[in-house]
Amino acid sequence: MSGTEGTVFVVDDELSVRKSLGRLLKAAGYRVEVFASAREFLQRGLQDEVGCLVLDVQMPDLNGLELQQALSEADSPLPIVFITGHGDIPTSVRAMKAGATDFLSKPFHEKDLLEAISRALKRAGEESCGRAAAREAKRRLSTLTPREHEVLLHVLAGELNKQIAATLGTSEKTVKVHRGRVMHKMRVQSVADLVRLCEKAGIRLT
Amino acid sequence: MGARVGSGARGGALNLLLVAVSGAFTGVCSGGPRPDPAASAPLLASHAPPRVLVLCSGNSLLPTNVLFDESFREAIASGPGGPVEYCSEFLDEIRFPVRHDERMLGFLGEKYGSRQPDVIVAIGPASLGFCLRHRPQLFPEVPVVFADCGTDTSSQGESARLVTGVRSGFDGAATLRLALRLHPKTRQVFVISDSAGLGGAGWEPPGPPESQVTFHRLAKEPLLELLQELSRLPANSLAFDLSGLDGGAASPHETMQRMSASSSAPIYGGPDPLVGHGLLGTVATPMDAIGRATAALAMRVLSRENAGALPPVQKLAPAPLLDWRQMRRWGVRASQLPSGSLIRFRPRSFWRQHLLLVITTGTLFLLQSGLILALVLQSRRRRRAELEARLRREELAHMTRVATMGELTASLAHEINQPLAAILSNAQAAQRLLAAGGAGLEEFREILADIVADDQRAGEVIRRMRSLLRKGESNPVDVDVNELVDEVAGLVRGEMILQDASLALDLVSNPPLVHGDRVQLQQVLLNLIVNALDAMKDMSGGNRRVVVRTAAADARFVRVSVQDGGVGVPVDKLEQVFEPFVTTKPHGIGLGLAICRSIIQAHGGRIGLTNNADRGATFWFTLPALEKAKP
Repeated sequence: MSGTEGTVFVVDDELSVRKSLGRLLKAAGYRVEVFASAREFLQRGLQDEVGCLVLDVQMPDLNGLELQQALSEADSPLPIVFITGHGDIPTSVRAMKAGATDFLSKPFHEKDLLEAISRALKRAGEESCGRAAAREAKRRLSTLTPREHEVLLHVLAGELNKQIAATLGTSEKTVKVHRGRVMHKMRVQSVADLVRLCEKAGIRLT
Repeated sequence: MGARVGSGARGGALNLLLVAVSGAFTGVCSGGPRPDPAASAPLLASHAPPRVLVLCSGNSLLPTNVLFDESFREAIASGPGGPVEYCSEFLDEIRFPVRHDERMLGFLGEKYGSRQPDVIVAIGPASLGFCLRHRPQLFPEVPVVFADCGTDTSSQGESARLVTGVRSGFDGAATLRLALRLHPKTRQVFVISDSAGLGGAGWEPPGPPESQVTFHRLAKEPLLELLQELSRLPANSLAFDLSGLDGGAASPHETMQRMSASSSAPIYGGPDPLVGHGLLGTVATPMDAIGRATAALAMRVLSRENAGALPPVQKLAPAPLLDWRQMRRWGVRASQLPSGSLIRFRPRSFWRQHLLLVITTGTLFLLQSGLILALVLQSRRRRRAELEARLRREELAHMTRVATMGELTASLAHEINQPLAAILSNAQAAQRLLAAGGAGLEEFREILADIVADDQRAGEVIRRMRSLLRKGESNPVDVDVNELVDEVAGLVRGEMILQDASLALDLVSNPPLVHGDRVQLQQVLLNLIVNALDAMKDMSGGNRRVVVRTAAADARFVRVSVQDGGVGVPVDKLEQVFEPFVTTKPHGIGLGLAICRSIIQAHGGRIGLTNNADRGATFWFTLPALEKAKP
């Protein structure tokens, strides 16, 4: 058993392929779910699970690349291992640019597949942690009052209290109080920590 | 009684001409009282044709008379004179000798009394003698033209007045010389004659030539003895018959036939008429020449104005005459004959006899042969051209098939890689399960079954591909168009996925079978589907849809159509797309549809296209339906 956490989602329109892959991956110790089409997979929905996608490129209706794009737009970027019956270079470049972990041509050896899945799951795990941190940062950010949020942006911009007070038309003392509350609510000790946390929360620094 | 042929009958040219053809005659004529011209009966109507009386010695069956009659009449008919009334009488004095002259006198006087002949033609010595004896009483002043078959006559005198004729001859000495020349080994000559002496016919054998030829006489009578003698003639001997010259036999030709049949040696002799009845040869005046000359003379006599100016007696030269059949019998070759010889009864050669027929037949045969030859060549050329065209078509068809398959490489690889991937994964899963232990037999059985199925699927793809790539002679079989569509659909399935297109089949149930080459028909369908996909390249994915339909167009044709939703075919190209090297694709060479058309036409069908009402085009082809429905 690989020990990496996560579910492997296999999407292939070809019954025999998905059946055999399911068999192999189960034998390799993964939790596996198979889907006959991209739509079937999308209907299942994802609840922030850790996992990766083994995805056939050529499928009728919605193909692999289109599913990749759809997932990316839905902000659930599962790591994807593409498999294809006939891999041409433009397709693989497109897939990799869009964030695919691997691109395998059928028939592939199990070693290649399992390594690719392992990499993908590892990345999924990392991304999963990253997403958790971001959520926490956003949560903390959401506890700030509008005035505190305003002060925060100025702090992130590297302004001194006196400058901030002048900009906001208030006293330097008041700004100092707000700043203390921000640091407290965001649970950071230094401005550097504050900046890093805000990055995770998606605040873009100007 | 005398028919009057007087000088007063001028302008009539109607003088009776008594032609007495007579053989050797001596002065038989006896002078008779000259009739008075004034007492003559007036001539008959001046417009009546002149009457010619031919008075023959012997009877009507004698070869002499027959031959003479023939040539004489022919000469008269073809001569310059007008129509002639031709009468012939036969004395028959040999068979009925008793009171012969009196009988004939009465008969002729009665018969020709009312209108005397204008000329009398006397044939043979007996006839001439009769004429000369009795003309004064019978036909006074009627000129006589005689035809002389033998001996010279110099009988003149009053009775011979108004007599002229043709003297001909049999040259016994020349005949003997001819015989000895043709049979140089001859030792003995047997002379046949009636009289005791060899000179019975007025002829003496020539003195023995330098050779040792001896002469013997054979008596003509009795005939049976003669025949026996003849049958015993030794080798290197000849028979020399002079008996025919006497004119004393009732039927000398029949006698000669019997003699010739019995004889063990060739028989020479005379005169001419016996040639043809057994005589090998003679030297005598030919009968036909005598007849012609006599006729000419008679005509001159008829046309003369003055009875006193009869043309002179003509003398005709003898010539060697031979019977071809006897020559063959006795081994005489024509090359041995002296020049001027006449050969009788020589069959005309095939060429001469049937020249026109031969030429016509030959020409027709040649024409026919030429025609047949031309037809054969043409047919062979056409067969060769057909074969060449077929080979070229198959070659081209194969090329375009390969090209089409080349376009499908990606999808074919896809089609094969799918089952291969499944097989590999299944096998490796099984390995893992084995290593881990604990998996049930049922699981392995399922895995193996899947592997087998996938392997078969891959094999099927390869088989289809190979059959399309194969180069070979067309192999017509009964084809179900629905199966055809299914097979091609299997081939392009991968391509459909790769190109994000869909293929829909709309197949009529139980279509009539068609007869054709499966691979070539698949090729046509494949080509049309690939074309359809190409036509939709620039469209958004959802609209790329190809519909293949089969339908029974009518009782006689099955129709297969491929409909796309592409750009359609420009109207100005509708007519041309099936022409070679016409293409709407940027990279096409324009052979695909041309090949499709030639394949369909070779199958007796038609191919065409129509632009759809909404968008895209529909290509279709028809194939002749077989009589029998699918069982």
